[in-house]
This record gives sequence, C-alpha cells and structure tokens, in this order.
Amino acid sequence: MQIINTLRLCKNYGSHRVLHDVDLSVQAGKLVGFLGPNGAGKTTTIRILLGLLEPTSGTAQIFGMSCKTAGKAIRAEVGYLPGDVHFYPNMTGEATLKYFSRVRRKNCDREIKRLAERLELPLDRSVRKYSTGMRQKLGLIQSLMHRPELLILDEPTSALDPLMRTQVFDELKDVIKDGRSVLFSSHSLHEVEKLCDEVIILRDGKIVEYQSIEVLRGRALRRVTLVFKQAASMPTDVPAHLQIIEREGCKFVGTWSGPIVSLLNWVQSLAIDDLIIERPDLSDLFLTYYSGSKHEVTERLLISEPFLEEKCE
Amino acid sequence: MFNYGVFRKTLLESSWSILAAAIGLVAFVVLFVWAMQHMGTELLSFVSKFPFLQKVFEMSLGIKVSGEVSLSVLFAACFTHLMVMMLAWSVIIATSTRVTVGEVEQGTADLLLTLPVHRYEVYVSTSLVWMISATLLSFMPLLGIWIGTFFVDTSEVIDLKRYIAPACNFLCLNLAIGGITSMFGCLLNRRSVTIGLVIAIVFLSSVLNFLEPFLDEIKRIKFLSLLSYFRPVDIVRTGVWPSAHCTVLLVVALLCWIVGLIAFSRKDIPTA
Repeated sequence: MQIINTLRLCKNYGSHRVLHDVDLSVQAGKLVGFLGPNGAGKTTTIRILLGLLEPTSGTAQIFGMSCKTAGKAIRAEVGYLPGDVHFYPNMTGEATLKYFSRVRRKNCDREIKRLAERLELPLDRSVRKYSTGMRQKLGLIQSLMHRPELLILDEPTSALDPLMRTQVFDELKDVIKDGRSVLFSSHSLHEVEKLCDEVIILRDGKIVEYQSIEVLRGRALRRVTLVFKQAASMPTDVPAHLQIIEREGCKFVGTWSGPIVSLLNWVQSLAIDDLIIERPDLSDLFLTYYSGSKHEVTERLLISEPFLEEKCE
Repeated sequence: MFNYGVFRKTLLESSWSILAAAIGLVAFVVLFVWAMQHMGTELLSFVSKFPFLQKVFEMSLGIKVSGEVSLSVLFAACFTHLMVMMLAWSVIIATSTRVTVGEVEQGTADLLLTLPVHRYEVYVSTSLVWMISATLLSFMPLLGIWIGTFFVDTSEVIDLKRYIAPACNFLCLNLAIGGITSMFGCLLNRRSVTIGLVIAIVFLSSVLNFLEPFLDEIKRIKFLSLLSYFRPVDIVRTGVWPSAHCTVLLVVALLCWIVGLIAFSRKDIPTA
C-alpha cells in the first residue's frame, strides 16, 4: 500500500521554482530517509504534504487522499515534527501536550507519560525554561503521542545527545514494527544509513535518487583511496569513472563508477604507495550526487546501472 | 466550524488583557462622568469663546457647543474619548492578530495547522474570542456611566437606556476594526506590520473626520472614514437609533472577516 504519493509536484516562489515535477511513492511500513542539503526542497515537499503550502501544480496524496481536500482526515493520522520547532513559551510541557490532545480531540495521556519517561523529559517546567534539546523532545512527544500511521520528522535528532538519539531510533524502530511508516528528513547521512530502509535524495528540487539502502550500496560505485609516493606523481587528469571527493597531500579519495578492471589498468600506470577499494558509505553516494552538474549526475547514474548488470552476469 | 481547544486557549491567554482593559474603561468613564459634572459646563463656555476650538470640539467629541448641552449629552462624549477607543482597540487588535498572524510569525502555526483541524475552525474559534472581547468592552462605558451617576449630584435624570444605542454603535465600530485587523492578519505574515496598517487606517479615519469641517474637499471622501459612522453624542441628543451607520459598519466587518477567512484558508504558511 502506498502511504505517500506525489505526481509531478511543482512549487514556485514568485518566478523561482523550488520543486520540479517531484514524483514520490512511499510504501507503508517503511522508514524512509529524505536527504538533501539546505534549499534542496525537502521542507517544501513536507509542507505541501501537510497542507501548509499549496503546490503550484501537481498532486500530493497521503493514505490515498488528497492533501488539499482531505487535510483534516490525513492530519488525524500523521505526526509531524518541524525542523525548527516552536512552542508557546508561557505554557508548561504538560499543558502544551494537553492543548494538542484537546485540539486533536483525543486522550493521549498514557502515551504522553510513556514517551516522557522514555525520553526523560520533565513536563512540569515552562517551555521557556527548556533547552533546545528538551524542546526537540517535546516536539517528538507531540508527534508520537497519538500513535500516528505516518510520522514526518524534519531533522528530529539535531539537538539530542548520542544516548537520547539511540532512544529515539529505538522508538522509531518500534513504530515500524507496528506497521506504521516514517519519513525522516536529515542532514546526518550516518543516521539515515543506520536507520532507514530507503533513501530519497533531493537536489535542486528534483529527486535524483530513490532507492533502498542496500541497492544503493550494491551499485557499481566503489570508494577508492589512492596514496601516491609523492605529490608530484599525482595525475592531473583522472578517468571519467572516477569522481574525486577528497584530495589531501599525496592522497586521493573518490568514488569509482566503472568496471574494476579499468581502474586496475589505470592504477598500473601510476606510481602509488597504496590502493584501497571499499564499498561506499552513504556520504560518498550523497557527495557523488551533489558534486558536478545535474547532467553529470544523470550520466553517472546511467553509467552505474549497466555495470551492475554486467557484474550480475 | 469551531474547535473548543483553540477557542479555550485563545480566550484564556487573552482574558487578563480583556479584564484589565474592561476595568480600565469603567474606571476612566467613572472619572469622565465625574469631571463632566464638575467642569463640563465651564469647559463648554470657555470653548464657545473661540470659534476654532469650537469646531475642534465638535469634531472630536461630536458636541455642538453653541446649543444648550445637557449632562446626559456630555456623558455620551465618553464613547468618543481617545482613551476609551485606545483601550478597546488595543485589546481587539491584539486578540484578533494573536493566532492568524501571531502564530505564523512565532512559528507555532506549523504545529497548530498540522493538527486535525480545518483552518476555518481555527479562524472561527479565534474570531469568537475577539468578538466576545469587542462586545464586552463596547458596553463597559455604559457600566462606567451607571457607576459614575452614583457620584453625581444633579437634578437631571440620567436615563441609562439612552446609552444603549451609542454602545451598540461602538460595538459595530469595534467589530469593523476587528474585521479589518483579521483580514490584514490573514493577508500578511508579520504581526507588527498588520497592527501598523490598522493603526494607520484608524489614524487616517480620524484625520478625515477632523478635517471635514475645515475642508470642503474632504466632505466628498468622508464616507471612507470609519469614524464618520460613529456619532454617540448625536444619538443621545436625538434619541434616533443609528441603523444606517451600524449597517455600514457591520457590512465592513462582515466583508473583511470573510476576506480574512478565505485568505487564511488558502494562504501558504511560511517557516518562522
């Protein structure tokens, strides 16, 4: 079952287009990472899904209902944590959550108590006195307290310490175990890699990748580290298959998207001290998508697919 | 159409300012009544010696100094006093911008509007609060006059029923101010800009009203001034209900409120 579905979604701010024909189709029961740097269009997409923004063109659906016309019914089953969460400073944590429960017309007391204990948040204090991390915990509780079918979290752990992050990840894993779904926007590639089943990568308002983590890792891409004997022996021209991510002293770090034989043939002609070929982590993939022109990115994706087939044969 | 949670929170948060303004209004009107009884006649005889001051007095308070002025008529001038208007409007403007533009600016609208509630429910629920405050504050001068008469030693019988019509006229004016504020609050994303714009409209209204006796050109555009539909002293003097004036003010209030409702239902909510 599709839980989120968008079709040719576009959003303009004046003459500036921030979303270009975004087609999304998220299946139920998945934890999907939503990646992209600032200005890529992640928050705009999320805000359209939640009815805070109207798309310029295209359609957005959640649970098969239109986000434009069935917003209230959709939002009853959605929990949302904004990236920059703001609360009413004069209310206590408890009063804030009671207010949200009242507006939702749902008694969430038991779940509030459980979540507050799990996230170690004192609810009797005024929100004004909360630290940024505590406010983020309060935001997480308000998004989870009604046990929504879909959770949309915009950088939910940016202000949390590592121990608390683990608690939040465990809670999200429990949500998935219940058959519910999570759309998780983050800058932290490590988090997304650790937690998510699938990843959507957005660049300049366009989806450049939407795949499962495993498929992405299984792509022909390899992380390559080349250590040269001396800086002078480092080549100025590199093969088209090699995307340099880092260049430091006598060392190149990059991703290789072609046949390994070609890499080895090329390396033979170089004066190197060391060669390391690894499976790429998500940050390598992400940087690959984000460096170079859009044309190059598309080209790289097209190159990697046939090689995957070649490898399977 | 209505969300109790939003209504309750907005009412609770506004209740202290509404209560303070109500007490302030009553206290001021009591003082006004007392001052008018002791100094009103002397003030009028002083003003009548200067034609320019006479015109200013007529326009600002609506009292024709040349004719005979009863104490009842003088008391009605409290409705047009700057202090009374300021107290009432400050609360109405603050309450009507609290959610629609205040929460957008503060960033809390991101949470409120992603709850299972229609935007029109939020708008109606918060509108009810400013409408209740407008109603309460519009009748506070009436209460002040009633309390003030206990401290007044006069042979003239002060009939409180005569002040119901000016209080209703004041209510219509306050609803128009609230409607205009709601509309701008839904069209704009900054609370300070909204409040500034409403203050500018009220100020221009007062300027038009004030300049009318001095400049003939102003008479042609006088209908644009909200304050030209608010004549409490004339109402008390003539005893005629201001049906036409009230209708105009209510139409302005309703139209602006509806425009605000449509704008709020469709507006893009920016990040704070």
